[in-house]
Amino acid sequence: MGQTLDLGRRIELISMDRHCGDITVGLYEQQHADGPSYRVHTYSQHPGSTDRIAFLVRAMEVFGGLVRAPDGSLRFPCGSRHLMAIKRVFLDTWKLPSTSTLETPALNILDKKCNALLTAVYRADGRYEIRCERADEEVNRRATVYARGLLKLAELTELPNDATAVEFPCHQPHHALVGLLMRRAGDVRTAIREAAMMAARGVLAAPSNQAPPES
Amino acid sequence: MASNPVQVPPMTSRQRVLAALRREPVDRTPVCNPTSVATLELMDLVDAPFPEANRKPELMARLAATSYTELGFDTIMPVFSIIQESSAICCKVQWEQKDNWPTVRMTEPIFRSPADIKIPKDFLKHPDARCVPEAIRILRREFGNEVAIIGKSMGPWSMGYHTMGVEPFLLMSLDDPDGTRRALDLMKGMTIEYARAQFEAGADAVTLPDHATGDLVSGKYYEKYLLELHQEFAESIPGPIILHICGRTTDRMDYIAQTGMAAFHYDSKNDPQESMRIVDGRIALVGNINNPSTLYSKGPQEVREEVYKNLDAGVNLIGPECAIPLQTPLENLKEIPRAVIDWHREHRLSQPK
Repeated sequence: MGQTLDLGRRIELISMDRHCGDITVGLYEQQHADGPSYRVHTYSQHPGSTDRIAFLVRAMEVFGGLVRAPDGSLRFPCGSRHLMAIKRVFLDTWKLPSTSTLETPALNILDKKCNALLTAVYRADGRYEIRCERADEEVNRRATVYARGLLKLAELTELPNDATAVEFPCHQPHHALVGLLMRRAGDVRTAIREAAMMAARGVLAAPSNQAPPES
Repeated sequence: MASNPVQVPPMTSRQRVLAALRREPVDRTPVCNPTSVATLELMDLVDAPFPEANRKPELMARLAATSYTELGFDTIMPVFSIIQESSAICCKVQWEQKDNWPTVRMTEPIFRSPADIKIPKDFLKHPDARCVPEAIRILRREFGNEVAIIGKSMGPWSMGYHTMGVEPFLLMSLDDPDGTRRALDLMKGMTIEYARAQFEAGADAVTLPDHATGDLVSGKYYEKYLLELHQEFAESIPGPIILHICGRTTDRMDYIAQTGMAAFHYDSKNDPQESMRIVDGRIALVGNINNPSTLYSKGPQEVREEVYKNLDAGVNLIGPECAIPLQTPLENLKEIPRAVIDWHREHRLSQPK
């Protein structure tokens, strides 16, 4: 019936993509016997929407380390779900104009608060440790902040006895994804707040419950 | 569990909805949206985005029709927002963008006291008012008698909030009962006139939101200020009215059941069984699938559970509790009619559609 498609369960939404005529773009999850796949889709026929979706898919491949299936859907190479992580990849990717150059994110970041280069070092079995050439109290504190940020952003596993280490529950490496998340992990609250503000748009309140309009 | 041993031949969506509003037997429980089920994805699908879809009849009709053509509801309701009349009488409206609702700037009221209230006699000619009957005409031409078309006319309590501000209006209701009654009396004519215009344009029913919500207005205040007024609406408006009040309202459902209105669109804060017990067959109930938690945030299984809970209680028409968030996923909305059909099949009360 109708023109809407059975795309699976929608797990994230961009209400208005300012890089393509304010089209609405959804991220959908479909479950399969061998793990979930993800699809980026818009119902808009706006000129350029097809190219925009193609760019977003390609960008998610690069930034999330995802692989594209023959049907155009995306999967993590490990076949696991990583729901929070793929939502984060989607939410960060749409901010890019389609003219952006796509490069796999590096595993390190210059943290301005401790003025040091923090690196997510891969050990084995999906384990990453946040390390720095310099070792002092401030660097250690920030490394812990980044580790906790990664835990929250991607629902990773905390490791006992090492507050600066995290582990993927699939026990597989995800270098591109970790590189992307390192750019948010130092200030997770902002990322979460942004997502919450986007999700809160479009809720109609009764007149007695309406907040004053923004001027 | 509701029992309906009468086997009813297959009905059109329109027949089903009208019969349910009359509390007559139906082939299956209708799926009804007395309030908006517009979403961002549907706006894109038919190229009818907010805010223009609230102001241009062709866009309004095109977006509204998706409730029937895409979601499988038995109704089309083109009045997405609650600001059409307020705009027509020159309240200040913030129209917002595609992803948000237009709202009245209630912090900038146009009336300070009942003495200020003047409703332009030609308010129906204002484009934002005229838009609705025009959209209804478009829909009636396109769909004939297939589907029920529902309009909307705001009640005077809601218009009191919009025109005078929430706090001043509520304070007046506490401190100046005569002034409050005068204000409601001065604004009720607009409710009646707008509803009539929509029936004349081809609407089958009209939703009448009057936001005397349970968090701010007690059941006793409903009886004091609105019961007689709503009874007057039921007598004056030439067609079925679906009263809509958000929030917990079991303390006033007994009064609402005495209004003579066809149906009450009730909130998920009210238990279906308890609500049906209170109204006791005197008014139909429509609802009450939760919006922010279930339809927006959860999945089809949770939607199905709430649909079944309402059907088990014998609720007459099933639908979301209020205007849905614009980001509501389509799969959750489509689950509502699927669940209704499956419930009937499982209970073998009548042949599903």
